[in-house]
Formats: sequence, structure tokens, C-alpha cells
Amino acid sequence: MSPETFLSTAVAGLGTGALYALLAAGLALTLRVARTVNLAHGDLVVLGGYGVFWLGTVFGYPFWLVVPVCALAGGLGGAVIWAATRRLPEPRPLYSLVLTFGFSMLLQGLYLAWWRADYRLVTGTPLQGGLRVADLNLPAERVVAGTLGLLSLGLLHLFLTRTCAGVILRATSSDPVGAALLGVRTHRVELAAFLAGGAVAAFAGIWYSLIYVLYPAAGVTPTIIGLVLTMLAGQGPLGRVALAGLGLGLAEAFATLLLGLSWRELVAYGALFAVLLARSRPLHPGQGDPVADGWRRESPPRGLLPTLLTCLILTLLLLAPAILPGYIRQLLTGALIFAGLGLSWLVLRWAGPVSFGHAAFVGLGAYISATAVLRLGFSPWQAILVAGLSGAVLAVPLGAITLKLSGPDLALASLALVPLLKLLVLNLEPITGGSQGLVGIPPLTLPGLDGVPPPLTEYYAALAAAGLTAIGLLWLQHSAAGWAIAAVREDPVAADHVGINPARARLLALTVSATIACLIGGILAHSTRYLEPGLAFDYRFSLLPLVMAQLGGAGGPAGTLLTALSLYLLSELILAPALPYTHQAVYGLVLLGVMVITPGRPVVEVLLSRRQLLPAKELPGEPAPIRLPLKAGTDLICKGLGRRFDGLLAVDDVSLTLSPGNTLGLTGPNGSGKTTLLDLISGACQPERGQVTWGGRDITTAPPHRRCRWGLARTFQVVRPFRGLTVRENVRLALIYGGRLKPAAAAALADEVLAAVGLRAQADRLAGELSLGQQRLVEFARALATCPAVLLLDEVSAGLSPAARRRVIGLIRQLSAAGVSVLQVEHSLRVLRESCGHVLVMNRGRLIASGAPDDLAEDPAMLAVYLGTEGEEAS
Amino acid sequence: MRPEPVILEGRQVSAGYYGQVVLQEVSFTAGPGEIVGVLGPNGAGKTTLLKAVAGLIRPVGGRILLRGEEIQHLGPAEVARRGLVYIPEGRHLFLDLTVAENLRIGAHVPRARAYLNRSLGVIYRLFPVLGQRQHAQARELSGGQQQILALARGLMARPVVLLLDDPFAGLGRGVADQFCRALRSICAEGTTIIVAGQHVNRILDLANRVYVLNAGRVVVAGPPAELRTGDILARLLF
Repeated sequence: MSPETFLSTAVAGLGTGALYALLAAGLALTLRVARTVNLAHGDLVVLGGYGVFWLGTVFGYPFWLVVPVCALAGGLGGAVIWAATRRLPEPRPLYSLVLTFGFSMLLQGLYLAWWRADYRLVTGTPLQGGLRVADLNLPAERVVAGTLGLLSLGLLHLFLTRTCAGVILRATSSDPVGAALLGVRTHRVELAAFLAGGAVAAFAGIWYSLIYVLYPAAGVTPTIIGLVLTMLAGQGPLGRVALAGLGLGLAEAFATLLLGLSWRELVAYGALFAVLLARSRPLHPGQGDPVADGWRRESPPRGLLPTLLTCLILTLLLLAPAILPGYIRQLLTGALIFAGLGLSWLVLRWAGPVSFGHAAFVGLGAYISATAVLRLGFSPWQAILVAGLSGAVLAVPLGAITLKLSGPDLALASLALVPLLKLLVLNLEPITGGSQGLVGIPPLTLPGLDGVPPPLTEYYAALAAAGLTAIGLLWLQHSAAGWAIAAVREDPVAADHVGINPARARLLALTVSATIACLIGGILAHSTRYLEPGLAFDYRFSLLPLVMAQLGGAGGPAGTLLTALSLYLLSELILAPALPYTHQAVYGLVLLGVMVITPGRPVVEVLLSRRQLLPAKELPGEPAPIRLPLKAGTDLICKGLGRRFDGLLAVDDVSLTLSPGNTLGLTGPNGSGKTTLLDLISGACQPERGQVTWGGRDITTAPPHRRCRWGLARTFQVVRPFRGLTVRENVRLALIYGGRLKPAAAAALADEVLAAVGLRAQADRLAGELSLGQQRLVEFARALATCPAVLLLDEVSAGLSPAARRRVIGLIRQLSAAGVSVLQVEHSLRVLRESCGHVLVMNRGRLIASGAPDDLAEDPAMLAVYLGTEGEEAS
Repeated sequence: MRPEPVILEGRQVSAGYYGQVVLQEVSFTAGPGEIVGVLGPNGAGKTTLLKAVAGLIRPVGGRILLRGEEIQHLGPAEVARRGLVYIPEGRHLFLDLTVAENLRIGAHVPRARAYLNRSLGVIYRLFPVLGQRQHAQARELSGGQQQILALARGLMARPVVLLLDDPFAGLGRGVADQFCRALRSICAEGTTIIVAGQHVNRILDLANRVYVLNAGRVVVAGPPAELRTGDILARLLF
């Protein structure tokens, strides 16, 4: 490489990099202030580009006039998204992802409807062409874009640090509640962030369009670039976004130089996966678990009716070809492909993660199947199986990268997966046929049954895929594996504490889902007989499952089947003929409308919801004895545990020993570190200092599900039963996964455990329908069901009726006599008096006193804590 | 003009979270320049009461009146704009912003904006440490300094009523003394202060009147001297 090439490539890279940084700054602004990942950000960038193209290149308005108009349009776009997000319930991150994905689809659909799919190139601006500087041939538009990008970033930085409005924006992003308490109307601040973010996007789009061609779906790449840079910069200042942008620009420029222009986007997509692989924190700090939180309230409809309905629909579909004309059957084949896809999407969704890119799996399956037949000589059926296998092969690394955190990683990665695979297909022309596509894919035939025409075979193949998935989903609802998946979706932390490995459950769901989607892709390839990227990676494969899930009930297979059939028929019979270019916009609009009208809850569920709280029933008497196969106890020893949060020592040098049969009480004022100590012992979080050993084995870093299987069980201060499962299922799940019992043994023992805590009568109720006190009992029963050797109880008696409290304390005594060690946290000494002979007192992260409850009431250290003279040493 | 006898009043306020009622029909009043203490064991509903008054949670029943105007339906920003400032337990400082920026946002409400520079002068005189560290990021301050910044930021809003939740948590004796002196001088200028918390002696020393909550209800109310003689507090705690 000559020095001139090197220099001009570097300058071009820095130029585009600065532009990337600018567009990422817009995304970061809305994310930080309004806590919204705007997946339509790139489409606002494209809006700015189209503005320049139409107003400048086509209609010839002067450039200086076009720039502010475009920026204004982008700002307005941002404001519309803001208005739609306002009604979203907390926690917003996941809902906002689905909503802005809907916006992205709508905008792309509108661009397609108004301006068609043609590639548009902005020409004739004064800023394009070659620029010669000291023997170097520099691309003028990149130099200009870069300079303006850096300049705008600088201005944005000054605005945020020097102006009153900027300080308020930063304050709101730092602590929205704190800002509201000082009279800041945070919704207006969020509007300002969306206005600014949209305007910045469109402004960046103006320069983006001087460099790259425009087409309706061109916004995907800038969105991904924005996400990558935002994640790279973390919560850091804008300067870090700029640095990351320059780095990405340089990498892209040199990669393009080496590989060719058609590989340009590879760097951005690759960077997204690299960032996801490298980072260990979710995108929304302090938001905990957006995906799980978001979908928590949903539970698929169960019972006989949905099962019968599913079976009825499947039977009708099985018989349908006998009476329907070929044309309709052909249509139904397409509908079944979508139904199967929606159901496969649901498999993943039930475990929690949301995919915005199931088209990637369909496309992959279609191409693998087609190339296996055409290039390797496989038979069609073999090829479809290979396609399914390829789904599993892709899912495992993808899941390993994106599912270690329960955040929106998979959603973001799946967004990039579609263009990435499309890019590969386009570039690997000798194998895939590139943009020309593949022709002559053989149809599906049944060996030995020559009389069955291929279309009929394809119909039944699609029906088999959809039907078997539906039946599998029905089975999941009534099996331990399905309850485990539901538990992971509802509350991964609690699931982890009953012995389920959430990451593995999610990975399994992704693998099954991807395999089915790829199989369906294979069937698609053989039923269409030809393939090209636009067909295999159709946007509808990604979008429709979301629409179906949102419309068709919280994941009941019957709802999804019905919605898929009706949506597809509506689309093919009415929408496509009547509005050939508008159907994408219509789908986007439907998803948006549903999200705005019934945010977070599928329409069917809203229509059918008739939830009532049950009156609490008092059950007198002592607990029935239970015979649990308890695990063998041994000493649990904590040595010098320490953990800080935000610079505050939550737990500071705490040591304690729990021996089999011991019952230890732990109390202390609010925020003294009691719950954090339990977290450290149960594995919910890990200490920075110190060690936890269990029978001599160091378990300091072991995950909760492993500790649970060894014999550590816990309950939570804020009750966390699996609300979407019945009370009995909560207990059976814990018996199987935590207690390591066979399903049959678990079924027999479950009622005994429930009788012991006094919930026998509520066994078939959903846990979420019970009163808070009863939910606490469910959680207690679930902890017992893991057959523990150690019970860690966090305020287990709070909110219980006196009778229930006596029962719980009786059970604790009973278990303790059987050799279980108990660590019981309570906020007042009074409660501990009844169950514990020895109590530890914590304050400000340290153990400050210990002894018998009656002695402690007189203990000066204890009194000092509660009467407010403690720790007031001169400082 | 007739003096206002009651600045803040709660009439049978009930509030809670997720359908569980924590606070049950609690009534209270606070007059101008008064320091009202709220005591009670953990989980008694002290924080819930303050949150309901500040608009962070909407009461499920009852009425809250600030200078005669009902505020129970308002959000936190609107309540703050009417002169009621809540300094929560977690402080909610803007940790990435400097001390001076934190204080400036304190004066964001219209009633305080015009007095920004004058208030800043007063604050820096009252708490010299903030003046010295005005360009430091809030996260760099010590725990005691952060608590002082939270109070000072609240004062920048020129509040009519100041709500403090467990303000003495984690403070050393020197800082706590300074804090109490500041609170007394603030209420001497007519600001009503409601202070809840665990530090019973501190609050009994400071308050003119005390409400003791237990299990979401007021169990005792009256001047601190009456409470000190009885053993009701100890009975509640242990």
C-alpha cells in the first residue's frame, strides 16, 4: 500500500468516523435521557438523506435551505416517537424496543410506498467530488462530513455542559426521580431529547447521503452503527462516542480497501457482535432486567379450551386440501409457513428473549437447503434436515454471545443478523448466486408416492412444521421443562434460586426456535423453487411474529395460528393486490397501534382479562409434618465478606458460620446490608472480598442454581413467586429442579408441601392471583421444595396473618430439628424472638452485636443503633 | 393578613404499592416554621407517607393539602413547583454533575429561579464545604458531604415545606450536629420541616411535635417530651 493510499484512506475513514459519531450521539441522547433505544434512529438518518435527494437533487432547492428543513423533519419524527412512548408502562426499555422497531418498519414502509425501492444517489451538491491537498486525492464529501460531524459534536458538548437546558438534560439522564423531585417536568425533557436526537439523526443523514446510496431499508446500518458506538462509549462523555466513531470509521475504511466496497457493512455488524461479546453489563444501567420485567405479566392462556381449539384448527387444516381449490391451498401453504414461524418465535419468547430477526433464520435455512441440493447433490428432504441443523449451529454461538445477560442483547443482535447474512449471501456469489439468486430448486416429493403432487406435499410439510410446533408448545405448558422456561421468563433470578440455569434454558429455547425457523426456511425454498435475498430475508419473517404475538394472545398456540392465517390471507387477498407498495407500512402501523393502545399486553388478553383477587382464607392449626428428602447438611462458612455498591460498603468484613441444625437470626435497620449478605451467600451477587465455603469447598463464585442443587435455598424480601404458574407448579418445579426429584415423585410430594404451609386449597390458582401474604407462603413452600440443607429466609413473616406466621415458624422449627440450618433475616428483634435462640445484629454493613434476643434488647450497641446515637464519632 | 395556621395537612391518607396498602388512614398537620418528626419501626410506613406527600406514589385514599390546595393527585414535579421539596433516603443526587450544577438544578422551579445567585451565596455561607468543592463531581464527595449537598440542593428551591427521609443515616456526629443546626436555622425563617427516620434521639431533640407510626397507622402523636418518658418507643422497636 502506497503512503498516498494509506493517507487518503485514513482521512476518508476519519471523515466517515466523525459522521458516525454524530449520528450515534443522537441515539445516545435519547437512550440516556429518555431510556429508549430508538431502533428507528437509522430511518431518521435516511429521512434526512431522502430530504436532500428530493428537495436538493430533484427539485433543485438551494442546499442551505434544505439542511434546516431536513433537521426539522427529523426532530418532528423524534417527537412523534416520543408521543407514542409516553403511554408505555414501566419498565420501558423492552416495550420501547418493540415500539421503535414498529416505527422503523413503518418508516421503511412509508419510504417504500412514497419513493419506491430504487437506489437514490444525491448529486450536484457543492460538497462532492475530489479534493486535492498536497498530492493527495481526498474525497471532499467525507472530509466535509467529518469536519461538520466533529464541529456539531463539539457544539452539542458545549450545549450539554454550558447551558441551563443542557444541565437539566444531563441531570434527568443521571437521575430522573431526583430531577422530578426538584420540579423538573421530566416528560418535557424527554421530548427535548427526542427532538434533539431526531434532528441530529436527520442532520447526520444529510452528510450520510452524500457518501452512500439511499433505499428504504438503508437505515438498518446507521442504527447498528449508532448502537455499537453507544455501547462502546458506555455512560461516558460524548468525547468517547467520538473516539469510538473515529475508530470504527478507520476500521471500515481499511477493511473496504482490503476486501472491496461490497463488504463495507461487515465491520459495523461484526463490531456489534464483538461489543456484545465483550460487555458484561446491560445497556440500561440500574434497570435490572428489562426483558424479563417487560414480559413478566404475560402468561399464556391455558386449560382445556385453548388445547381443544388448537387441535380443532389443526384437524381442519389437515382435512382442508380435500375440499379447497388449489389456489387457496397454495395460499394456505404460505400462511402455514408464517404460522410455523410465529410459533417458533414463541418458543424463544416464552423463555424471555425477543427476536427482531427471525428472517435471518428463515433465510439461512432456505439458502442452506437450496445450496445443499444444488451444489452438493442432497435430496430435498435431506437438505431440509441439514437446514434445521444449521439453525442449531448458528444458535449456539449466537446465544452464547447474547444470552449471558438477560437484557435486550439478543434483540439487538438479531436486528444485525439479517443484514449480515444478506451481505454474506450477496458476496458469496459462486455459492449463493448473489443478487441473481438461485433457480431450479427441486420441489418436495414423497418417495414412493408419485401420485401426490408436490404442492400438496409442501402444504403438508408446512402444516407438519406448524402443527408439531403448536403441539410442542401445548406440551410445554404442562411439563416441567415448560414451567422452567416460564419461570426463567418471569424471574430469572428466582429461577436461578430454585436450581434452574437461566442461561441454559434461554439457549435451549433459542436453539429449538432457530432450528424450527431454519426448517421452515428449507420448506420455503422448495416450495418457491427459486431464491433471492429479498425473498429469503423478507422483512415480514421478522415483523409478523411480533404482530401475531401482540395480537394473538399471550402466546397461546391457537391464537398465533389464527392470527397468522388471518393476517396472511388478509395480506395476500386484499392488502397486496390493493396496495402493492404499502403493506409494510400497514404492518408497521398495526404493531404500533397495538403497542400504543394496549402496551405490553396482547389484545386478546386485554379482552379476556377478568382477574380477581381471592379473599384470604385463614387456616388454623399447626403445620402438618412433611417428609422431604432433605440434602445432607454441612458447615456453611463465610469469611470476611465484603461488597460495595456505588462506593457504599453494603457488606463490610462479615464472617459467620452456619452449622447443621442451627437457627441464626439476623436483624438491623434499613439498609444495614442484611439482604446483600443473603445475596452473597445465595450467589445472587458476588463478594469483592472474602470467601464462602460449603463443607470445605469454596463456593464463592458458584451461580445460585448450583448452590441450590447443593442444598442452599432462599426466599426474597420482595416476594418473587412465579406468578404465571399455579401454586402447585411453583412447588413441583422446585422439587424437580432444586430437589432433584423425578417428576412422578415430585407430583406426589407437592401436595404434602402445600398442605404443610396451608395452601392446599389454592394449589390450582395462579400464584399471581393470591394475596401478598399467600404469595410469601408460596415462596416459602418453593424454598422448602428444593429439599434444602440451608434455608436463607428474608423477612419471611412480613405480611403474614398471625396463624400463617405460627405455621411458618413451626415449620422452621421442624426443619431445624431435622438438621436444616436456617438464617432468618427480620427487620425487628421481636419476630426473631419466637424462632431464633441466637441473633446477629448488622449496621452499616458490619456485624455489631450478637447474642440471645433478650440480652440484645439491653445491648448498648443495639440500643445505640435504634435510638440514633451510633457511629457518631467525631468526623 | 391572617397567618396560616396549617401549611401541610393530611386527612386519612392511605397509600401503598402494588395493591398492598402500607399506610392506613393517616392524618397529620404541620404549621409554619414547625419541625415535625415521624418515627416508627422499619416497615411502619414512614417512607410511604413521605412519598405519598411528595407525589411519588398516588394515595389510594384521603386528601393532602398544601396551603389549602389539594395535591394528592399531582406528580412529583408539580408538587415541587408548589414549594414542597422531598429529600429522599437515597438522596438522588446527580452523581455525574458537579456540586454547582446540582445546586443550580435545585433552583429550577419558577419560584426560585430569580433568586439563583442569592441562594447560592447563602448556601455557600451556610455550608462552606460546598463552596470549596463546587467544581467537584457529586460522586467524589464523602457520604456526609453528599447528604449536605442533598439538603442544600433542596433549599435552593426556597421550599415552603421540606421533607427529609432518614437524613442522619451514615452521618458522623460532627456532620449530624451541623445538619441539625442548619435545619433549626431554616425553620426559624418560616420553613416547615418534616423529618422521618431511625435516629430517635436526634429527631426527638429536633422536633416540636412527633408522630409515631406502627403498621401503617399513627399510634402516638404529641410533643417529644411526652414520648421520652414513656417506654412506647422501646416497645415498638424490640
